[in-house]
Amino acid sequence: MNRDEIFSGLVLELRRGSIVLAVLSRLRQPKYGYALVNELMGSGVPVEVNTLYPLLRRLEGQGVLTSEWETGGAKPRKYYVMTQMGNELYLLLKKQWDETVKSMNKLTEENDDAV
Amino acid sequence: MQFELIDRYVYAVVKRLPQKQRADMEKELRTLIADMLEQRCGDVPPAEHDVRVVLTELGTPAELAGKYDTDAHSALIGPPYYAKYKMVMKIVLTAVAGGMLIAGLIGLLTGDTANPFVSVLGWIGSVFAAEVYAFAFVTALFAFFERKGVKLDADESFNDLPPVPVKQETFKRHDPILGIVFSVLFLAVFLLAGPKFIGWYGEGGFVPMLSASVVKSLWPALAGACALGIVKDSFRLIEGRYTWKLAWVTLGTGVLSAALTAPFLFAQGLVTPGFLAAVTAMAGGGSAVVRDVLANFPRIFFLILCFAFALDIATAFAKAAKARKE
Repeated sequence: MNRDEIFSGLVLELRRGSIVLAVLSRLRQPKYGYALVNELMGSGVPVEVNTLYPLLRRLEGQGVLTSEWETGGAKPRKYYVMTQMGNELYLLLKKQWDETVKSMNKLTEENDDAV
Repeated sequence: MQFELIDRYVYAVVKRLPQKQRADMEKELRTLIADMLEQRCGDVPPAEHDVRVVLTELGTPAELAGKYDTDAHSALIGPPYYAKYKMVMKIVLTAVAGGMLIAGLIGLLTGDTANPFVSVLGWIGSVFAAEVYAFAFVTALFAFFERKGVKLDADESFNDLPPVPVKQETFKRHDPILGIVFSVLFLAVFLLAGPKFIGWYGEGGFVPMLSASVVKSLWPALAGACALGIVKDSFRLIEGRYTWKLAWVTLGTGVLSAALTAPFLFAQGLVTPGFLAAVTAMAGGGSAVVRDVLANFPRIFFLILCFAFALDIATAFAKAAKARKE
């Protein structure tokens, strides 16, 4: 395995845990899956379709999200939105994220001085 | 925008999902594919090639369905059990083969077949059958553990960590292995050779001790008792030391084995009258005590067996208690 392969593996691992936070941040308003994919992509957080859709289902199963079919348009669409519990989880998760970022920055910046 | 490929793809995905999700998933997946095609082609009507690109991005049906699958028991025997499964399987298969090998040799040496070649062929067949049974048996046992989440190691919390065993609380691995070999051997020799070769070889020729018809009618109970013995020994291999769980398994299998053996040993006419007569005659004929002992031999044997089971159970509990205390 060369350096680039190892690197992309590490990036993938780094992103994996943060996807949920990114998804939840966009679901205060109801959205359907593909719109969410595009929105996240536009914000610099690319998520693969075949990762996001199963994730939405899982979160719905856990009661973090709830969904509703919108059949008025040309195609039937399933809209997902955070539940009350989902919103609470989102706030907790965000706080955790902020702390992690702060700590990580501190760790890596210490190194920057040394380099 | 109708592509048969999409129909096939969607069908291949949803058929792998639980029944109650399928209709919902199908709708969502179709809209998603349509959205992706639209984004890719804009106002231009998509071609078959575009469909292929989009579906490739989604992954093969099995991959995509796999990502929706959150069933923890997707493997028959998963990681925490697999190592032990392999270990036990190896030993059980070897032990069964060993037992059958010895049984086969005995059968061959005492065989009355004119053609030993036929006996060898038959023996290879029985070894194969025995191995298949053993394999299925061990697999079913571990599949059960996996489904029920049975804990095989007693290392749940720090407080429950078992002490480093001193020599007397563990048993050598050959102990349960010998047990399995013996169970197989006993059953094979007893069923194959019992009525034919165990008996009285007097001047009047061979008088079998056991009635072939009784053995024939009751052998499944005996086979069950031996299978229980193998269960116990397999469990000993898994545990590797004396534990409460092992003690309870010993108790359960022991009691069941005794219950299974009882109808066999208490069966009317198990010991043939001819054998009784021959031995009584040899032992001086007149003595009523000798006759009684001989006539009741299966019952006495049963008591000895029960005593052996009780000893085994008592040892298991005593050693488990001792191991806990230290």
